[in-house]
Amino acid sequence: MLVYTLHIFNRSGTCMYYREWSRPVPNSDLKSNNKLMFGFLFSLKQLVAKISPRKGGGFYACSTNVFKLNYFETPSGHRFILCTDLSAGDMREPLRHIYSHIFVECLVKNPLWRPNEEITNANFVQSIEKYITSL
Amino acid sequence: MAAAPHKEVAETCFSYLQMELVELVIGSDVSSVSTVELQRASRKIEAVGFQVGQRLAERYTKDTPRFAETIDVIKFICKDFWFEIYRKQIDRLQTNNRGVFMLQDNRNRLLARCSPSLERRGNAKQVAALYARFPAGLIRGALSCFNVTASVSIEVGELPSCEFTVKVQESK
Repeated sequence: MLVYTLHIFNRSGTCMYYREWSRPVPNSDLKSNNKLMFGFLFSLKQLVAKISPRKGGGFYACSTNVFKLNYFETPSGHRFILCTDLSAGDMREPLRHIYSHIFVECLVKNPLWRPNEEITNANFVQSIEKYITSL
Repeated sequence: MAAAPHKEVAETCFSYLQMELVELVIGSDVSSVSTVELQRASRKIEAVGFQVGQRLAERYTKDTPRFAETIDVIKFICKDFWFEIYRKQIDRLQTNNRGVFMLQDNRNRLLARCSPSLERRGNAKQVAALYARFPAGLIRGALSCFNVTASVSIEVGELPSCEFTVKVQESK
């Protein structure tokens, strides 16, 4: 399985963290692409809620013929998006791991990090790197 | 009384409270804080630790016999006192036998999690040292509870570890 990119958005739609691995086509305009990504997720969430035959639930992945987008949203509104190739299985568990074991441990419990600021903390970056390569 | 259940408190809650204490004392803008302000902040945090340490020491020794020597007090702090607070003991204790003790804690819970973002890398070490000020105050408070007057200085080396140097003043 190949991992292409990882995005972390906060509740208000700011991209707090972006990292890409083995992405064949470079991301040309990062800022507007992030905006598009968040807008897409936002609308998709609403659409899914509207057309769902039953209450509750939400989407957790969608794919094209080229890549798969895996989505995880926390109760606090942080959104974790992992783009992988099509061979990826269910990525909800890895994404939950990133949130509960890396995000919470390295940032929320880190005295030198403020909520909602851009993530550049070495500890976090290294842990993400290590975990993604282990996938 | 012997079978009283062990009371517990959430570790995260304790950590967050201490983080906010530091925050409160240095004010909002951490990146541009001056050396004088840092010193003032560290004195305040130490004073808080002192008060807490004094009371805690009283509470944790309510069932132990009196200490004969200063070294016994120090040993108590390294073992039981530290364990009650941090669920671990002090990793290394050294002394020159003339009233100076070096207590080394290799994995302080809060310091282990300090990892600065790029913009804060500049004064990260000084700010991190503030988080070690509280335990330093705890030590001084506990010592004073047992009638040992001492000064405690700290040194933060490689980040998760820090060293407390206790200088006992001869006044007994």
